[in-house]
Amino acid sequence: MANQKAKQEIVFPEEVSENISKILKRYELEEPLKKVEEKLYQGKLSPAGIIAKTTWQLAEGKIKMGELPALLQKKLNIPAETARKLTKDIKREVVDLAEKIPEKVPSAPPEKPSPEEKPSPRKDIYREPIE
Amino acid sequence: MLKFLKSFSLKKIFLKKQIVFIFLIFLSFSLLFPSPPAYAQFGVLDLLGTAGKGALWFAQALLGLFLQFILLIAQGVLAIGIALLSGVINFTLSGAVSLTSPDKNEIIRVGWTLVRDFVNIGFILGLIYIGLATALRIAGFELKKVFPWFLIMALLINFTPVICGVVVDAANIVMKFFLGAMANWSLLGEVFSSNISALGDLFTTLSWVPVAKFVFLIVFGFAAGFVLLVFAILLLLRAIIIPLLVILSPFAFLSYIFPYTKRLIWDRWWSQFLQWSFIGAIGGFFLYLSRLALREQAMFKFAIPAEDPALATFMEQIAPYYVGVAFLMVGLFATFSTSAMGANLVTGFAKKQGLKALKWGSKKLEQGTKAAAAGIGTAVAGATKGIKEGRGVKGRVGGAFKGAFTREGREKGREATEKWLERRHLVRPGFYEEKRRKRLKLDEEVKRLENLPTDRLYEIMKRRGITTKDVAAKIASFEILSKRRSLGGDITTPEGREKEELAKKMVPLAKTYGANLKEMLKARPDWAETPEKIKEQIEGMSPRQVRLNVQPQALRNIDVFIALDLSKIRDIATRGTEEQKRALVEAPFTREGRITRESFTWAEQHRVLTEAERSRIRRFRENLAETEKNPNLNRFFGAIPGSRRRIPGLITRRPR
Repeated sequence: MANQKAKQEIVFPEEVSENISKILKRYELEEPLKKVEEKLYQGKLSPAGIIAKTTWQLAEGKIKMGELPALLQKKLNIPAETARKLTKDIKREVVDLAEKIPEKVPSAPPEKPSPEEKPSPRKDIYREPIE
Repeated sequence: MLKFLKSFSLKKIFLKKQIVFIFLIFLSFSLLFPSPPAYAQFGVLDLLGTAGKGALWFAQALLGLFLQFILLIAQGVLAIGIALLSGVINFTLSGAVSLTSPDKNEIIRVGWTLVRDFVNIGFILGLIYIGLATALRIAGFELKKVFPWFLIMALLINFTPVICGVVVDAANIVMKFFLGAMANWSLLGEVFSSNISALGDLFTTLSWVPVAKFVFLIVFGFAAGFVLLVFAILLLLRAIIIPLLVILSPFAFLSYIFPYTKRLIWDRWWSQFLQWSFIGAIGGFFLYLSRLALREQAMFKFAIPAEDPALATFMEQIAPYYVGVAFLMVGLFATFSTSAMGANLVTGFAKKQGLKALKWGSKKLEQGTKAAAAGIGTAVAGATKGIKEGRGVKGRVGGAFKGAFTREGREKGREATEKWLERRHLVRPGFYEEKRRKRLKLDEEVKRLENLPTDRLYEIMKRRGITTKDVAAKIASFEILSKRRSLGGDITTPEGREKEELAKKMVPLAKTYGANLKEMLKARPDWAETPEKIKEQIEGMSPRQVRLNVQPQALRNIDVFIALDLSKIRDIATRGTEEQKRALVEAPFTREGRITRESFTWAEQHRVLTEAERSRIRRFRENLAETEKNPNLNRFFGAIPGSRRRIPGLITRRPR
């Protein structure tokens, strides 16, 4: 949910989840799909989920960049040095890609399903999906 | 003995195909190979010789005996019909028992007083509630709005018999005009007495003419008797149902106060009351016409060229009777079809549409009468289809009734007939669909309603489809809502749930009447018939099309969720609406999602997975993992440790 007070919407580009996957592979934190599913149903988050959540909180300004290494070290149970490197990568490959749209878009934008899509006021950030 | 008698039961006799076959040949020979006197003298009969003639005469005499027996039954049916209808008309017009006044009808007096007292208790309780609510300041705007109606109705329920009396009396005046001067229906039976002596020829002359006379009279007797019986039953039912409705009237007036009960009880009561009040007038009108046709026999007498002068005279004599029966039959169907329409006309009038409604209604009534004749054809087709689809005797009878008397049934009958014609290359392909849209004037209706607000369209869809126009407006509203992507609502709110149910209920009706379902399936792919069709629908759209067309309610469906791929999920995550994103995250945690996951687990444990199931599981896990690792979607997870955000309706366990 966009931060109501700041009146801005945060949108991450499409490649962001792919980037998180790459980071997970790099630090050998990746988990099989079945385990991810089980964790979700237990109300827990997989490493990918933890990174996605902290990324969102960073973009929202709820946590600061300085707090992130300690947070990741605790939640992912990794050494301090790895957490520090991981933080850098997350900033460069995920957080920095976030786009903050100043004017808050209403919760149900009346987007008409006309065949011709109206030009969006925000920048076109469509990318071909990477399978 | 019993066994012996059973062997002669009608069912068994008709099951013996040989007997039927011989009988039919026998009858066909009698009717198809006429033997007028001149031809008989020098024709086939001469070739047969005396023995042949004797055998043929014997066969004809046997047939005569059989026909005589059937004729007696037909005459009996007609006599009963005449007697019953005359009796019922006399009873209705005499005014011996009042249909609405408690003073002149003991049943109404007791029943109505009881219901009124009971309703009065309801009013007192209502007043207490309103008083308390006002004192405690919990009375809202709605309560204040219904209060004036509350007072008006508290007063009016004491006068419901008078109000009902005005309506029934108005209908009775019309009915009296039509039925008053024509209580004597014995004229119909005269055709039998004037021809019965001529039927004796069957036993003296070797000819097909007396056989034809028999057949004409039998058909006439059964048809006229049956129609008169149905009319009599209808008028008798009217005399029973109107007092019942009057007894319940205080309750109906009470229900007028609240919008929900008004829709549920008042609208139905009022519609039924008007229908039953005016059914006599409409039926009476057609009885009047048929009686007129019988009186003015000379109008329908025309020369029939027949080689046998006796037959020609007979045909000329019987023709007006058949015209009279045809009027009765059309009248019967019109009474069934136009009663609701007539009631609707008066409902429109009562709703202060004044003269405009009256003109409109008269036009409709005229059209309805014209359409009644065409309706008979579709009713028969519908009944046939109903019989075919029904299971067992009860099912088949029920199917026939539904097929003949419900709008959907008749439409199905029409569909079956026109598609049958198409299969035989008698009409061009797509004829039925094209005609169906034109018949309902759907395109015009869509144009007329397309500027109305969404809530208004839902109101239209909620209306009962009594007339064809109603049905067309309902379907047009459904089409417009499909195009607006506003089908259904948020199921977490009562209003949204009501919209969702209403829109979903419309799908079969829209399908029957040929609404454009393409738009509906784009907005609500979850309403496709099977998971395979859902998959086909989703896979046929690009990520952008999915984002622009698919409503959030559909994304909450687990089959839709599985049918999506990563590119579609990412596109919605980046550019979709908040509702779409939330729905995507919720889908695997809904009840259906849980059941799907449990069935996956079971199938995996028992190793009974097909390739399709394996692909579904893989897609499910991939999509779920994507929603988790995408920050745009991840934020909707209510069960994230430490997060205060919760998604309403999401079935998740919070970690301890």
